[in-house]
Amino acid sequence: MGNTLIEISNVSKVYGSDGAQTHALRGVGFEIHEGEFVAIIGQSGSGKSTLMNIIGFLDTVTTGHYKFKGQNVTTFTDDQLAHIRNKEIGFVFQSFNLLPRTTSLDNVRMPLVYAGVPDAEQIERAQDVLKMVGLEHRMGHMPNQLSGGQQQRVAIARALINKPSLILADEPTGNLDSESGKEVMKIFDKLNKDGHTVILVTHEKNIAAHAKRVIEVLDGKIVRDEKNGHKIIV
Amino acid sequence: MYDFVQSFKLAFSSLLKNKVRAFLTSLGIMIGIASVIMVVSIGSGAQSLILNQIKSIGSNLISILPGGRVENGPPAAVLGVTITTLDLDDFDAISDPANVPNAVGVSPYVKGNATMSYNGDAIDSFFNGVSYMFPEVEDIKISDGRFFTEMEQDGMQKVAVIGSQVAEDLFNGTDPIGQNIKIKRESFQVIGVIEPRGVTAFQNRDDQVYIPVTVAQKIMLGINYVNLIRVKVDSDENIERTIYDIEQTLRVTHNIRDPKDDDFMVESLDTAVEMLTIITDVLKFFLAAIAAVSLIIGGIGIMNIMLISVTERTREIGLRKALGAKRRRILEQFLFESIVVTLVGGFAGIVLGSVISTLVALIARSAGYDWDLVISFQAIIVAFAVSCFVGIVFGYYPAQKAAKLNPIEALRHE
Repeated sequence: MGNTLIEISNVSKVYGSDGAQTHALRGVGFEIHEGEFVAIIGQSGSGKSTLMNIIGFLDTVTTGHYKFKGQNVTTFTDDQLAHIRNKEIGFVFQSFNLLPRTTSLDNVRMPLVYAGVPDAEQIERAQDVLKMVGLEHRMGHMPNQLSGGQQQRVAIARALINKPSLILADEPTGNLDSESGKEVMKIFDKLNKDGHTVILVTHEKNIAAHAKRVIEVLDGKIVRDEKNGHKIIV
Repeated sequence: MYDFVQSFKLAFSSLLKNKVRAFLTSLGIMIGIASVIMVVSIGSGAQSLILNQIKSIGSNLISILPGGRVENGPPAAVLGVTITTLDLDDFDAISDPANVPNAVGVSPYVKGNATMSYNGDAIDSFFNGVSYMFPEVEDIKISDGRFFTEMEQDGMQKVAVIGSQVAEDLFNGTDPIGQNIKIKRESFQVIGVIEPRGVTAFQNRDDQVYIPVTVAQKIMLGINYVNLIRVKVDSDENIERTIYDIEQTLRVTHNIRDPKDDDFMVESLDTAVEMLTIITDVLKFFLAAIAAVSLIIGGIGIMNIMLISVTERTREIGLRKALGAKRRRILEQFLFESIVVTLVGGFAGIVLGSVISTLVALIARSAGYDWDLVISFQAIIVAFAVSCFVGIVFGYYPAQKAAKLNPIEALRHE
C-alpha cells in the first residue's frame, strides 16, 4: 500500500444559516492511500456529493480536518484551493462538462492553461493523453461531433493531462449507454492498474463493483467502509 | 505576463465562437465613436465653410455699422430698428486720404428688393447701392464691360452692373452690355457683368445687381442714410490704425466728444471671424457632447450582453474554476472580452466616422461649397481612450460577477 494521500477526520459540513441548517456531513473520517480505487456510494441526498466536493477542494469543511499529502488544507483560501485543484485533482463529471464549440484538443489542454505551461507543451501533452484514451483521430472535433462515450474519454484525457495525484469521477457513466459505460470503466480500471488513485462517486452497484474499496454514505455518515469485502476500522 | 497573454487568448477565442454576438455588442460602441468623430469633423467643416465665406468677402476689410455699441443687449438692427446715423457725408469723409490715409477703397451699402425685367423676362432679386470703389473693396472682377465711375455716381446716372446669374437669366446668352433693363419702374443701362463668385450657404452673390449708391438712395429707396460702409485697408498691419482714423474722422463729422456717445461701430473682419469662431466652437462641442452620450449607451449595451454572457456561461466558469482557474484569471478573461469588443468597435467606429466625414466633405465640395475636410486627430485619440474606458468600466462588473461564482453551484447550473 502506498503513502497516505487523504486523511479526513471528524469532518462535518453544515449548509445554511442558523434558521434553516442542513447537516450534509456529520463527523466523517477515513484515509485513502496512493494507488487505491475507491467507490463512494450512497443515495442522492446522502451527502456523498458534498464529500466528493470536499475531497476535490471545491468545498471547505465546517468542522474537522482534511489533510492532503500530509498538508492541512482546511484553512486554504479560494485561490490556494484553485491552485491545488489544478495540480492534484483530475475531475471527471457525469455530464462531461466539455466547452461547446471547442475542439477536443483545446478542451483537454485547459488545465495546463491555468498551470502556466507554454503553448507548445500544452498541445504536445494534450495529444499524448488523447492518444492514451484512443482519440488521436478526434483531436480537432467539437464535442457535438462526438458520441457520449467519446466525450467522456475526452474529459478523462483532460483529467489526466496535469498528472494529478487523484482522479475524482462523479457518476462518470450516468449519462452513457451501457456499452459506452463499460468502455469508460475499462479506462478507469486500466488507470488504476497503472498506479493512479481513483475515487468514483456513484449510486450504481455494478459500477461500484469495479472499485477495490467501497465507502457507503447515508444521512451524512459513513455506514460501510469495506476493502475487498473486509471492513476497515478507522 | 504569461497569465495575461493566456487570458487574452481565451477572451479572443471565446469571442470568435460568438462572432455575431460580439459584432452586435460592438455595434453600439462603433456607432457612438463614429458619431463623435463625424460630428466633430462635420462641425469643423461647417465652421470652415462659414469662416471661409466671411474671409472670401476680402481680407483687410473694416466695417462701419450705424448705431453705437450696446453693452447689455443685441444691436438695434437685430430688433428691426433702422438706424440712420451713417450717410454719404461720412462716406466722403472716410474716402478723403487726408482723414484715412490707408484706405484703398471705400463703399457704402444700401440694399433693396425689386423685380427686374428685360424684354418680357422678369426676375425678383436684390439691387445694391454701392460706390464706384466697390470692385476694390470686395475684390470682384468684371468679366464684361466695366464698373461705373465716380462721375456716373455723382451724376446719378442710371447704370447697372449685373451679376453673372442675372445676365444669364435675363439675356439668355445675348450680350447684355448697352441694353436697358427695368428695375422697378426705372430703366437702367447695363454697363458691366461681374465674374461668377460662386454660391455660398448664405446667399447667391451672382444674382444681384449693383447700381450707384446715389441712385439707389434717391431714386429707388428715397432715403438719406446708408446701411453699412466698408473700407479696404492697404495692409494687415494698418488695420488697427485705420480703425482709429475712421473713429476719429466720424467723431469730428458727428460732433462727438466722448467715445461713449459714438453712434457708429467700427469693426474689422478679424473681430467678426473671431466671434463666429467662438460661437461655432461652442456649437461643435455641444454636438460632440450629445454624440458622446451614445457612447455611454453603447457601454451599457456591453454590460448587458456581458451579464447575459456570464449567466449563460455559468457552467463554463464553474468548470474553469474546478480545473484550477483563480478568480483573477476569470476576471481577466471576461474583462478582456469586453475590452476587445469595445476596441474593435472603437476602431471600426473611427474608420466609419472618418469615411463618412470624408464623403460629406467630398459631396459638399462637389456642390461648390468651400468645405475643409477636418478629421481631428484629437477626436480620434479621445474616442479611442473613451472606448477603452467604457470597456473597462462596463466590463468590470460582469467580470467581477463571473470571478466570484462558487464553482460547485456554477457546475450545477443548467
